[in-house]
Amino acid sequence: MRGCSGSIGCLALLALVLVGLDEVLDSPLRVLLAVVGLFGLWLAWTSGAAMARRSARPKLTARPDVLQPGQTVTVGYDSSVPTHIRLICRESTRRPAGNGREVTDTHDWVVEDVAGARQGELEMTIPTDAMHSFATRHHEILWVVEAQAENGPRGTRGPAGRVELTVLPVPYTP
Amino acid sequence: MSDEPTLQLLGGRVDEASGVPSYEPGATLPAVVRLDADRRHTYRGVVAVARWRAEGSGAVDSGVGQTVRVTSNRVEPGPSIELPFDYPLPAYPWTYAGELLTISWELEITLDAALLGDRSTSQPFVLAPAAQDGPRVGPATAKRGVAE
Repeated sequence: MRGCSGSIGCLALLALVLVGLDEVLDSPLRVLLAVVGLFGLWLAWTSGAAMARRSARPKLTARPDVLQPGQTVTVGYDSSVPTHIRLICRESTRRPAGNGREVTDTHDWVVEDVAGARQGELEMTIPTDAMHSFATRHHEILWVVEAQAENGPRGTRGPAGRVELTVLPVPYTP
Repeated sequence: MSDEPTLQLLGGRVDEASGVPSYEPGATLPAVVRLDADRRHTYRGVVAVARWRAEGSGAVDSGVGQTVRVTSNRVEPGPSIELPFDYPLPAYPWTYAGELLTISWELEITLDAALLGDRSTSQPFVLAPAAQDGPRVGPATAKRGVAE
């Protein structure tokens, strides 16, 4: 992606340089090249910014990601800035909002919250009386580990990474 | 009026929050259907099915467990009768009462009355494992409704 972004930027600059060479180009072609060059610069800028955002997003892993209540998940994290890592049970419901649209309401139960993490591993435990994962057309109970960078630009919340867990219902043993 | 069946759920443990009987997911729910002596119609059989409903801020999702035939014999007018049966409970979804959504269960029995129209009745129950020792957070749990 980085190479692609750089290539686009180089081609865009080349197009703009050619625009400046009077002896090479007639005016209709110069206009076209100018448009292509400006578009290329915009593309290079936006893809570079997206890449920068992605690289700033905390990286998360979870082992295992399928578990039962009472079991522990090992969360690996890697972030360039201090990060909040949360184990969340997220309820969500979808409801009609007219004109064929649907609105999703969510509520987070934050089970564990670890602040200031950068790199390493930690263990998080699904409570023994936790609800299992559940999903239907309009309703969902989702278990997720989220990492949120603490310092976004201009006081906003920073980029977030997340990994979903599947919490299975405990099988009955008489 | 007297043709209305009654359904009693047996065993289990009483759920403290709702007061209804609670059963382990995947276990057996013992129950009994009672029919009064002065019933007037003949029924072709009695079936039982557990139903769950997920309700939130508008829409409802639902599902059913196994359909169990309580009796395949014709139920004629006559003395009062009791029809005990065991219902095999599904493993999930567990009963849940959260902030935005609830999942509830009921056991429904139906008298198959052919052209007369079926008669049915139901009883709510909780499908959830018994509390265990260990870390708890309350809200994200099957015990539910606990403040954040």
